[in-house]
Amino acid sequence: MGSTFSGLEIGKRGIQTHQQALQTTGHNISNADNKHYSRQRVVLTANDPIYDPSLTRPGVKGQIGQGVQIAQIERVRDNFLDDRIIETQTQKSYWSKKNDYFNQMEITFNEPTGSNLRTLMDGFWSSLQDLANYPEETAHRTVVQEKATGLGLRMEDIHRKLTQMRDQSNRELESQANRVNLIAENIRNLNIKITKSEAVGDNPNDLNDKRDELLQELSGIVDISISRNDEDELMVYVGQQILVQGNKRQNIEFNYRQENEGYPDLYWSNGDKMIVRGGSLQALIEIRDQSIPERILKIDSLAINTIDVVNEIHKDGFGLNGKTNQEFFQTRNLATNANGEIDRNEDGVPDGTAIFKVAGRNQVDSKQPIGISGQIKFKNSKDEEIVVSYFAEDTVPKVLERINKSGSGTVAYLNHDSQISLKATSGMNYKESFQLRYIEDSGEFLVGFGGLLVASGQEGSFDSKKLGEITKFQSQTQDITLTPGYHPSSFMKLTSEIQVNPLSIAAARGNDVGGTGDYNTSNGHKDGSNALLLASALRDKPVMFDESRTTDDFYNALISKLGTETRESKSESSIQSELMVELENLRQSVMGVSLDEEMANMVQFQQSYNASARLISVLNDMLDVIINRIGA
Amino acid sequence: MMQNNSLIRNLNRQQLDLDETQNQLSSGLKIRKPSDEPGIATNQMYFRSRLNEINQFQENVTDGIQRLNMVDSTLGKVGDILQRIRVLTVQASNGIYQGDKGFELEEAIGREIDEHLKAIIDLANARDATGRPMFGGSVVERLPFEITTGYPMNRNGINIENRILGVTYKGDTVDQLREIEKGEYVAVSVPGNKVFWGTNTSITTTGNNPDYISKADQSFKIDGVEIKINVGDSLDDIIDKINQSPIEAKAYKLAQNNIALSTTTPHQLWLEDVGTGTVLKDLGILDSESFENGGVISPKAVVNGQSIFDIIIQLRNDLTKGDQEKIGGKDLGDIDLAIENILRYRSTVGARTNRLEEHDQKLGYDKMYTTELLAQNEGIDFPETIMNLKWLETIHNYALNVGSKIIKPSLMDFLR
Repeated sequence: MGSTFSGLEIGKRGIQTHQQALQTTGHNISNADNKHYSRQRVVLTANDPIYDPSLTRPGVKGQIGQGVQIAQIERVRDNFLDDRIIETQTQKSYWSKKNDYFNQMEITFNEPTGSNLRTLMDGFWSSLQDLANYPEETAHRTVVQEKATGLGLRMEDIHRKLTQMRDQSNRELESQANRVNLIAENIRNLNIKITKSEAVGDNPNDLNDKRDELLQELSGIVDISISRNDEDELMVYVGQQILVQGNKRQNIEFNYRQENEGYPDLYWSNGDKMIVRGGSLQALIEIRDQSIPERILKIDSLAINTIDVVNEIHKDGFGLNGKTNQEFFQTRNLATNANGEIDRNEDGVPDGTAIFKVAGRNQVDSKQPIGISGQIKFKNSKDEEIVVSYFAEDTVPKVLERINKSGSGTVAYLNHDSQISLKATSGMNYKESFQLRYIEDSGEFLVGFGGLLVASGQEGSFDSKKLGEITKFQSQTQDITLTPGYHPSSFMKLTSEIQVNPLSIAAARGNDVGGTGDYNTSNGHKDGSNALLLASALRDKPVMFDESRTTDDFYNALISKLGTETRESKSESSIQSELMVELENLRQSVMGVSLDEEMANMVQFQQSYNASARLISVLNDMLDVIINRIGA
Repeated sequence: MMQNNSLIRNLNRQQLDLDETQNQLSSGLKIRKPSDEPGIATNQMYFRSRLNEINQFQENVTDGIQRLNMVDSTLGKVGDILQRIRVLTVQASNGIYQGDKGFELEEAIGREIDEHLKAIIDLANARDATGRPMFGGSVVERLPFEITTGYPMNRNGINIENRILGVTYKGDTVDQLREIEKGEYVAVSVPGNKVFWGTNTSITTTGNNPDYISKADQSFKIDGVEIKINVGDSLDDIIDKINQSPIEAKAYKLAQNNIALSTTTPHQLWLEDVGTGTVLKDLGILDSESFENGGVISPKAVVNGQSIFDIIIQLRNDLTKGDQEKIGGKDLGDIDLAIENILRYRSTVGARTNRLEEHDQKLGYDKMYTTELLAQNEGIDFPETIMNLKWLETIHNYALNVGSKIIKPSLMDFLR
C-alpha cells in the first residue's frame, strides 16, 4: 500500500515539471527573433511506476504511476540542413565577395558612358587629326599636348586605383584569415565546455547554438567540412587539413613573398600551404592574385603599346621647330644600361637581356610573295619551342599573321615604314611581360629580308637569357625598344621636351637619307602626314596590342571580359542569396520559434500546472478530512 | 518569422527592381555598367567611338571642301586674268597696232600684262583662311612663288623700270591630306608647280651612258612616286620601269644613249634620289654635287618647260620687243596651254569637292544610322518601361497589402 502522501508528490512533480516547461517556453519566446537560436523542447517522461516486479512487491494489483519528470530539454535542429546551409554559405560569400570587387573594377573603368579611357583615347585621336589639318598652328598642338596628358593621367589613375584595390583585397584577406583563427579559437573553447557539460549528462543547447553560429560564419570565409561522427569531438576540416579537433586547433599564418609583389601566402601552422577552395577567402585570393593583376597587366599593355607606337612614329617626324628623333611619351627601362641587360635572379649580376620591340632595317613589300622559305622559332612562357614556317609563295602579312596566331608571346606587325616589327606581349605576370624571349630564323625572312637578325640559324638566335643579345639584331638603336620598367601604366607622361614645347610635336614626316631605315632627315615639309600616321596607328592600323590587332579591339575585349565576369559574379551571387534565403526559411521552419505554437504550449502548460495544483489542493482536502474530521 | 523574412525579402527585391526601372527612366539608358549587358556595352563603346570618328571625319571633310572651294575660286580668278591676257595677246598679234603708235601700244599692253602677272603671282601666293599659302604643298613658312626682279632692256637698248624677270617655285609637291574615312585620304590642295604650269616639261641629259648598270638595289622618286631599281638593271630597264610607273611622265632613250624625261601633262618634274640611291645623279639628270632635297637638275641637262609665269614673262618681253611672230604664234599657243592646265585643275578640284560632298552625305547617313543604333542599343523603350514601372508599383502595393494582413494576426490576438 502506498504512502498517504504519495499523491502530493505526484502533484508537486507536475507543478515543477510544468513550471520548467513554461520557463523553456519563455526562453523560446524571448529568443523568437534570434536567428541562430534553435527552438527547445521539453521532453516529458513518466516516472518509473511502483512497484517493481520483485519478491518484495506488495500484493497490489496494477502499477501505480508516479507522475511526470523531465527527461531532457532537446533542441530542434536538422543537422543535414545545417550542412547544406554551410555549403551554400561558402558559395554565397565567395560570389558576393567577387561581385564586390568586380563592381569596383567596373566603376574604375567607367564604361560605357561618361568619361573613360576610351573617350580620352578618342579625344587624343581627334586632336591628332586636327593637328594633321593645321600642322602650323600652335593652338592645335596645345590641344594634342593636353589630350595626351589627360590620357596619361587617366592611365596612371586607373593603375593606381587597381593597385589600391589590390591592397584593399589583401588587407581584407589578412583580416579574414585572422578572423578564421579567432573563430577557430572560440569553437575550441566551446568544444571544451560542451564536452564537459555533456559528460555530466546535460544538453548544452545554447552552447551548441553558439557553436553552430560560429561554424556558419566560418563557412562564409572558407570552405569547411564538419565531421560529427565522434560525439565527443567535433572536427572542422579545411580541405585535408584539420582546423579544429576537439580542444586542439591549427593556426593560419602569413608568409610574405617577394615574387608576389610582397603579398602574403597563407600557410598552416604545421608548415603546409593552405589550399582554399571556397568562401570569401578564396574569392579574395583569386581577386588579389588573378583578377586584379590581370587587369593591371592589360592596362600596362595598353599603356606601353600606346607609348611605343606613338614614340616610334613620332621619332621619325619633325616638329615645327625642326626637332626630330624626339620621343613623345617618356620611357623608363627595366634595364639600367643601353644594352637592355637585367638581373633576373637578383643576385646583383646581370644575367639576361630584356627587349620589348625590334623593327627591321628593310622596308618590305606587303603584296609580293616573299620568295624564301624557312622556319622561325620562338619560345612561349613555358620555355617550349614554337615553330612558325614560311614558304616562298607567302606574302609578308600572311607570315606575320601566322606568327600572331602561334601563341608564342611574340606578335608581329608592319610598322609605318613597312618594316617587320616583332613585339612582346604581356605574359603571365608582370615580371615576365613585355620581353622577347627567343627568336631564331633558319632562313632569311628575319635576316636578309626583314633586316632584324644579323644571322640565320641557332648561332644567330636572340635569347633573352643571355647577356649582350642586343648585338644579335642588325636594327638601329632607335628601332629597338627596351623592356619598360614594371607597370608602365603607372608612368605615362609626356617627355619634358613635348611638355614644354608644343612646337616639337612632330606632325611632319622626314626622309630616310642613306637608307638607314631612319627618317631623320628633314625634307623641309611642314605637313601633317606624321600626325595622320599617328592617328591611324591609334585607330585602324594593325599594330598589335598583345594579340589584338588594334587598340579598339584590345580595349573592347578588356571591357567585355570584365563585364561578362562581373555579370557572372552578380548573377551567381544573387542565385546563391536566393538559395540561402530558401534554406534559411526551411531551417527556420524547423528550428525557428513559432509564437503561435509557443502560445498554445503556454496555455497547455499553464492548464497542466493549474491542474497539478488542483490535484494538490484535492489531496489537501482529502488529508484534511482524514486528519481533522476523522476522530474529531 | 519565416513569413516576415519572405515578406521583407520580396519587398526588398521589388524595391531594387523599382529603383532600377526608375534609374532607367530618369537616365533614359538601358544599361549603366558593362555587366548589365556585356554584349550591348561593347557595341555601345564601339558606336560611341565610331560617332566620335564620324564627327572628326565630318570636320575634316568640311574643312577640305572649304579649302578646295577657295582653291577653285582662286583658280577661277587666275583663269579670268589669263583670258584677258589672251585677248590682249590676240590684239597685239593681229597687226592692228602697226605703224608709229604700234610700239607705244604694244608697250602699253606689255605694262598691262605686267600688272596681270603680278595679280596672278598674288593669287598663286594667296593664303587660305588660316593664313596658310594654298599652293605651296606643305610649305607654309614662306610664300610658294618667289619673284626675281630686274631691269630688262627694251628694243632700243634702254633699261626700263623694275620688272619681274622670273618666278621660282619654293614649295614642294606634298599634298595636304585629310582623312575622310579610316585609311582613306583625300588631297585638299594642289601643288603650285602643277597648277601654275603651262607646257610639258622635258629634261634631256647630255651624258653618254651606254653601259650604265645599277650597282645596288636603290630607288628614286619622280613626282613623289618611288621607282625601285635592282642590281644589274640597265638603262633600258630603268626607262622601262619609269614608263610602267603611274606617273604623268615618260622616259626615252635618245640616239647618244642619253635619256630624256618628259611630262605628259604640264607640270614641273620633281625628281629625287631616295636614300643612298644615286641613279638620277649617275644618269646625269640630277646634279651630283648638290644634296638639296628634291634634287637640283644637273646644269649639263637641257630643261624645257615653262610655268605660267614664264609664259607671261616671255609674252611681255616679246611685246616689249615687238616680236609679232612669236606673240601670235608660240606665246598665244602657250597661253592657251596655260588656260587649259588651269581648267584641268579646276575640274580636278571640282571632282574632289564632289567626292567630299558625296562622302559628307555618306558620313551624315552613317552618323544617323549609328546614332539610331546607339539609341536602340542603350535607349529604353519609354512606354514599355513606364508600363513596367506601373506593374512593379502595383505588385509592390499588393505585397504591402497582403503583408500587412498576414503579419498581423497571431494566437496572441485571440488570447485574452
